Amino acid sequence: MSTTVTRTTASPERVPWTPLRARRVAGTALIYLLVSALGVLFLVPLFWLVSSSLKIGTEIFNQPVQWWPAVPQWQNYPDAWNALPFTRFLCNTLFVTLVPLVAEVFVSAIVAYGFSRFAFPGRNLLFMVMISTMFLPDVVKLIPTFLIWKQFNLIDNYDPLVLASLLGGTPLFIFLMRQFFSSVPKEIEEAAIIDGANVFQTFTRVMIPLIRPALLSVSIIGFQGHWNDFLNPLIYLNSQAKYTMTVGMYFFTGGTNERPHWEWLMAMSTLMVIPILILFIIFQRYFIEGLTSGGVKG
Amino acid sequence: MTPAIFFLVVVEFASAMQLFTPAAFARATPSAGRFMNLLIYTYGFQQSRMGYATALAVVLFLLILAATIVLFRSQTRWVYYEGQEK
Repeated sequence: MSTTVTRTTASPERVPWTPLRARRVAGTALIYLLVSALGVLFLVPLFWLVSSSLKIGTEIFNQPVQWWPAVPQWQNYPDAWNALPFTRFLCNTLFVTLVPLVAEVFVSAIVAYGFSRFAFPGRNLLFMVMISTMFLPDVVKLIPTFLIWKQFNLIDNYDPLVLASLLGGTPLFIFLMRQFFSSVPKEIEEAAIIDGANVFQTFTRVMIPLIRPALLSVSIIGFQGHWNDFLNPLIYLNSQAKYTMTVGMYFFTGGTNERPHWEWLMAMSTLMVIPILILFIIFQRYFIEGLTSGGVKG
Repeated sequence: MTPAIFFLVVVEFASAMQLFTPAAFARATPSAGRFMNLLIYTYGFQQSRMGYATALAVVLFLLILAATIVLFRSQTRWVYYEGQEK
């Protein structure tokens, strides 16, 4: 409805002001106002993060809240970056983000396709078991998983962070992609088979392109999850050379005979937000496309 | 859209039942917002009553599982998959 209204208001020929039209325009204006207000509300924490990264440490805790530093401290960024080997941490983070991401998206897609398209005995039961792993609180899984990796002697290794994604995919992603695969009409697949495609070709050439919106959302969720993951690197990695950005930042909250550097923490957090923002802005277009077309064309 | 809505209902229900961070860090009074997951954490890691905490986790797990099974059963009534077997 909103699109038709904006079109009429934007058209060059003068449309007479009828009460109905006036009401519509007022309604749209109200909606825009409301949405903008909400948008501002959601941007406040981000703004606070960026402004805090430019403050002197003590300014952050000023009461009442000081929204903008008296003198922006741009030096916070290089200072924080050089306080610990952050270039190294960045490489580590990229490794434990990208490798599992690619692996888990690929593996999850295969599993999801299986659950969606192949009828085999116990399929629903297996699917339920897979889904039910999402119902266990993370705090409960923490110690058993750690003990398992300890048994394999893989503590202080990247394996606990990387290998798990390679082996089974992620239940959330499998579920999401299964929903998308199941929305694809059978006829498309049948057409591919008639054209001589085998199962693998049908999967990679026909099905994967059709669920591209799902792949993209899964990739972004996954990227954000691994990129921002703090707990797992913290408990599995012990030597400083292996730390990720998040664990490195943690040392700014005050540790061995040092005062806490909240402003450095904020600076590094600001830097870590940037890749996710860029990713989201680039892929937003596909998100909306995927939502409106339902992933299937033709 | 219904497959996507169904996905969100199941996933959001499961994660809402496991609400932890707001319950742990943003409570107005100690008695407000005592959610299941926080209870598990308090018993397990603060009072070292691991057995009791684990039992609570099993109860929580079964609760969510039961609700999810009901949700999955209800699919025939309102979720339409384009590629489903007729």
